[in-house]
Amino acid sequence: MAARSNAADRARRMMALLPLLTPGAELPLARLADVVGGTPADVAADIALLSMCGLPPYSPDELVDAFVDGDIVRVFAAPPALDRPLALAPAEAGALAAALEACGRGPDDPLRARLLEAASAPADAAEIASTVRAAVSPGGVAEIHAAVAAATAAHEALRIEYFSAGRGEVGMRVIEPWAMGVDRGVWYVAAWCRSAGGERVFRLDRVRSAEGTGETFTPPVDARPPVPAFPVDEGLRRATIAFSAGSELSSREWPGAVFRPGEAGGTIAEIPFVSGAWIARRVAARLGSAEVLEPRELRAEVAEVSRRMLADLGES
Amino acid sequence: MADQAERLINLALFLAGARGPVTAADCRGEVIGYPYDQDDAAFARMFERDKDVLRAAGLALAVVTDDETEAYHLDDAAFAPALSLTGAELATLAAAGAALLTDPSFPLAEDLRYALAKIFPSLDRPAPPASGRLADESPAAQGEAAAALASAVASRKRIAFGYVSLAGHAGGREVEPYGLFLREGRWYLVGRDVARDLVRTYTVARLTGLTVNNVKPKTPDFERPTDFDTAAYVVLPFQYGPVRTQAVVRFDADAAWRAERLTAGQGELVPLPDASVEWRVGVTDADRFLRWIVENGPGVTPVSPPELGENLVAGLRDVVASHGR
Repeated sequence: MAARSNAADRARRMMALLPLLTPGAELPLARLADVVGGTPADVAADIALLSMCGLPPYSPDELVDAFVDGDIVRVFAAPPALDRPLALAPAEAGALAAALEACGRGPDDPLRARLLEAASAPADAAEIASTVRAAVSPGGVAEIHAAVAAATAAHEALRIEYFSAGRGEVGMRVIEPWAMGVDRGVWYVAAWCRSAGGERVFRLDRVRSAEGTGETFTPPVDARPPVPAFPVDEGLRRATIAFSAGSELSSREWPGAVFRPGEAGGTIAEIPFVSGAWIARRVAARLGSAEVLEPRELRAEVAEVSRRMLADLGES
Repeated sequence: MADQAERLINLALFLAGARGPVTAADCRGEVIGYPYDQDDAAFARMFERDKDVLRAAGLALAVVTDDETEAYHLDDAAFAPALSLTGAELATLAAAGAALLTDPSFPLAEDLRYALAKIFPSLDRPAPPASGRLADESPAAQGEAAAALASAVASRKRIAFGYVSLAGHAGGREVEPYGLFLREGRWYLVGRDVARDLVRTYTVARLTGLTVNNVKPKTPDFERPTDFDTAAYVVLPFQYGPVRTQAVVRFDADAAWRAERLTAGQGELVPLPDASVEWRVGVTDADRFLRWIVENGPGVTPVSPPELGENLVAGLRDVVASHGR
């Protein structure tokens, strides 16, 4: 990999700053740093250097007319050139494609195609798609992601059809989406669920439909994105589960689990959980190689979910 | 002498502000930053490097040639076109940016940041609360390695690293990197092991001492096969290794909407007249497949081969027997 010089990185950041320098603007350094990268101090140094740049003959009226005043950049005139954004570089279009892929938009997505077409040099869609795959063909999620993102930005309540993995059924809910997040490639939204009367986190790939209600709401000032999606804290219930010898186990699959040796080469796991239905289904999925020891009510739940599946299969 | 970044900006402004094409000699004479005492060859090298840097930043220099002299200018294509994005599209991009720019495991964050700065050319762009963690194991280390690997794939440069395979075989590998993919919180590299002449998948988090061949960085070391598709290496948890069984699974009508989301592009989905969907898919590990079916139920049932359903019923009866006491 060819290392780029610091000067090249800095020049790129400075070029990104130029279109933001609109006459009369007072721009917070911290916000500029959010947009173009670097620290506020980096951006302050960039503005200082930009104010020495311009067009021949480099007279004062041909220089970039902005200066740093405390935490603010004051702009007196538009830059002498490059005062509008440049076209996307092919690598930038590729990064957008990867980011959109992470939002459920695969290689055939029309928005991806438009952004690649807008690049300054031909961006080969097939080459980009095969270089970085930021998601596993998450079909059908793009529209849900867009609807939730738009509602989150507009503070608009949403009516969603949501598949509850625990109950195994779809239900209608009205939610006030506060913040979004992506964890291990799966998108979530943290929201106030009016239907449940409490704060909930929803997986976007389990949202069957999402429709704006037209009602706005005020999000809490401390709304936090739902990442990590499974925060493990001391307050959670814990299940004690015995896994038979040879069972495939990892704390990535069972977040927060503590494992210890069990009988006959098996493993005992202490696993935190929120939803009994969720953990019951996962134990049932082990088809006999896992047994809940405690709590007793979870044992009954495992038996019940298995009976329901047998009934669905036409077995009694 | 002027700062190098200052020279680059002055050059960019000069090219953008010129009324017509300008030559290298024009730039040398007009732009502050090119040393007066520089010989022609040194200037030519510096000017070439400067153009490369500006192009990498998205400054699309158009070239016109007249009497063997090149001249450069920026035409309208150099500037961001009006994309006419919808509100939902802008919200998607803003949410993706807000999440992935905070994610140390996203390898293209720098390019994404500049891309978004061009799409939202003001400070009042929406900044919804969002965060991201595509990879959850040592995200910063995975992101750094994935960035180097993505660059090596794009420039077709060979890489070398230490690796311990799942079978416990340790050793150095020289690999032609073909592509990267993310699955369940981990980045994976697909590439050709040069010594073994085999295309392999590597867990990026287990790579050690990664180096990229930096000899002739602009010259590719290899060609990626034209029919290569990274997606073909992304499999579901029951598909590691050679396919042993072709299975058919049914998503009933109530579960049919989840079929496309759950199956991750694997196999073939066939809608049936009763609004259910059949999924025909290759399976390596039948036990793991049954686990997948139960975890993603209800409404997902095996159709064939028959032993799949028989084993599922037997397993569920075991669960009822052990937990129903």
